[in-house]
Amino acid sequence: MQWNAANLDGVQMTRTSPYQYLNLRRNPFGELTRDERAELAIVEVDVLIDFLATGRDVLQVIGPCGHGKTTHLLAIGKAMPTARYLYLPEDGPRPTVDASRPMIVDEAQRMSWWQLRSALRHGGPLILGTHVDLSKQICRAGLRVRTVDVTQPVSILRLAEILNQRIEASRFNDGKLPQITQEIASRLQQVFGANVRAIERHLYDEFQRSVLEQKTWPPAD
Amino acid sequence: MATCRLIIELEEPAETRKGGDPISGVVLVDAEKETNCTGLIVSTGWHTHGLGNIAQGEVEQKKLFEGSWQPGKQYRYPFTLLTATWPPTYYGHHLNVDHFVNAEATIPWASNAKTVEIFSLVADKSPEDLTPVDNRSKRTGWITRAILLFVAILLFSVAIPFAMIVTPIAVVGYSIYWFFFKLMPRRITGDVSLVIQPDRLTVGQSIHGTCSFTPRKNSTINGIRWTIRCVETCVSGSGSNRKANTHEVLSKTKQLMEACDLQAGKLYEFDFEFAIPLLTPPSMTFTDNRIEWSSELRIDIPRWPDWSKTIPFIVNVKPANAILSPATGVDDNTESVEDDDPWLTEVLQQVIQSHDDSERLEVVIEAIVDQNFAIFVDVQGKVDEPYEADIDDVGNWVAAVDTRRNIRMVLFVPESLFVDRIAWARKFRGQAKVLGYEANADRVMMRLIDQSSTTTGH
Repeated sequence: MQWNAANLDGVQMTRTSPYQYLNLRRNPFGELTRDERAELAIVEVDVLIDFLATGRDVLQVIGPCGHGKTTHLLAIGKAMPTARYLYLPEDGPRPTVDASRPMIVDEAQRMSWWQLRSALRHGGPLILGTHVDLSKQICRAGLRVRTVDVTQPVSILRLAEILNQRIEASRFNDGKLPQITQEIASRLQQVFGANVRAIERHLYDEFQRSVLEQKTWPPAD
Repeated sequence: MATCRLIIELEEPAETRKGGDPISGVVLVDAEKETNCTGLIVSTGWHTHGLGNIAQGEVEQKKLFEGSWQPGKQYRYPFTLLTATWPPTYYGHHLNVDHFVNAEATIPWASNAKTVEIFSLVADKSPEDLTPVDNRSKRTGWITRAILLFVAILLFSVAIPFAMIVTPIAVVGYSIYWFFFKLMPRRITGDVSLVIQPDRLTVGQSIHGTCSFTPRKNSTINGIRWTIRCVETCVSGSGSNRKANTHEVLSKTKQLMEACDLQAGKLYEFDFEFAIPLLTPPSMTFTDNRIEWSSELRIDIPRWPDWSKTIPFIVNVKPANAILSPATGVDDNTESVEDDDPWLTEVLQQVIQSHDDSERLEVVIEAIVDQNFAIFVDVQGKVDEPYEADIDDVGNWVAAVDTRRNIRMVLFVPESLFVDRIAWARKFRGQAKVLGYEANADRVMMRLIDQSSTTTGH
């Protein structure tokens, strides 16, 4: 018994980039490398860097997944090239939070009570990305803390800027690019709130559907 | 802002390269003001993009220049670099693979100037380490697994008293799974023998399966289905943020047996076959991204757990020569792909076979001079007018590929139809006449017909 795969709906095997008709070389809302994320981060780092002037300063970036904690940390890391970046994985061996400063610790809530105490004993400048508020422990260690709460939605203008920056970074050639208008950004924020990752995931699928059907993007409605 | 601008001009930019072949071009540098460059580096590489964490590889890099650029002058730096042998260029839903030439000028106390140019590449051979799990009998594996499990339980129990609680839970859990999904279906079907061959094949070839079983008792089934799947799996993030995204590139199900009554003691045997379509991707594996092929046989038992078994297999790339060479332009397995115009396939075959016999080619072209053909091609980019072309009209020539037939073309596009550069990549559906054959580039020459041509997606 044999049958053939006729009518392969949706199957495309093309060696020519399907994104070029939108003047893009990729879906702008896909995963980025860590360097690209730092490059594209729209974060006012100057004021944060100013805060981290002394050995007693700790900055905590607080919020749930997908709201921009790591983006903040990467942007700060780019502005402070001497800072050591540590990511604490959920499983497996974790790197040691040693005495080198400045230091950026992503997923700092995974530090044990003892590890956090030890890290704070070495003072700042220390930048912590965390899901839980560590300000009490920081203050108790005699350090100065500043909190950036990323759960607060960014302005519509800023959201449109963040998304258009992603599009610009995927540019194929000189010429016009698709744009996220403030109206679209506002609509996205109403649905997804401050969760920029959820917005990007939604736009990824929407963009991909448009490319498959070779339609204009963003859609008019 | 960088104080100079870089442009990469590739030789034959629309050309699809064979993996491992060199790629040549020139880096053009325009300086706005006097610029000191500590290194103009050009490199070839590839990367994935899409929903998975990015995988990338650099192939070769060369330093083309170090020194000073003056404003108002254009500098040219030719280069030739090797390309990667793997992976091939691929554009899917969650996963894409791009090959590129990157140029970057390091400029002290200013932003580096950089530019990138993408080119398409086909691989000649899939890597050997794309190994599916063994698709032969699982019985030996069973015994090994049972022994390993026993040893693990023993060690675990001795090492950690806590395991005395966890281990029984795990054993009970697995037993429930085994009882419902292995033992119960087998009470209806008896032992099912399933062999899928080969476990590694090439796009366009067929995968064969044989299945046999002898039911232990009379029973009714809803049917037996065989499904072939090709799935992109891309993992993004890490740690607790790690998320797998899957997209089904292809899923084809064949009903091997309709709903029926099975007789105890009777042998049921099935042979089946599936031709891997030419338009589908080969198996690929990166750290966090992969394309996997599998076949699943399912015996659907009403009000009872189904018997099912999934067996992965590897689909290799078609050798690059078979894709790029016009001599094998029409694939042996053309029938496995929807062929909406067998007459066009025949005509193109005739043109290709006559390309080194001018008299025969003339006869073929004469015979079809008044005929229009419906074409559906990937347009790749503008190219120079072929030497053999004899057209007075104003227009442009573009390279294209009829991917369904694996035939390369060069199309004359009248001025009224020509769309600008960013539209080149689009799939084009329209009417065309066959003009002849471009011997230097081994492409069928065609001319688009104005009145009924449309680009998709407007």
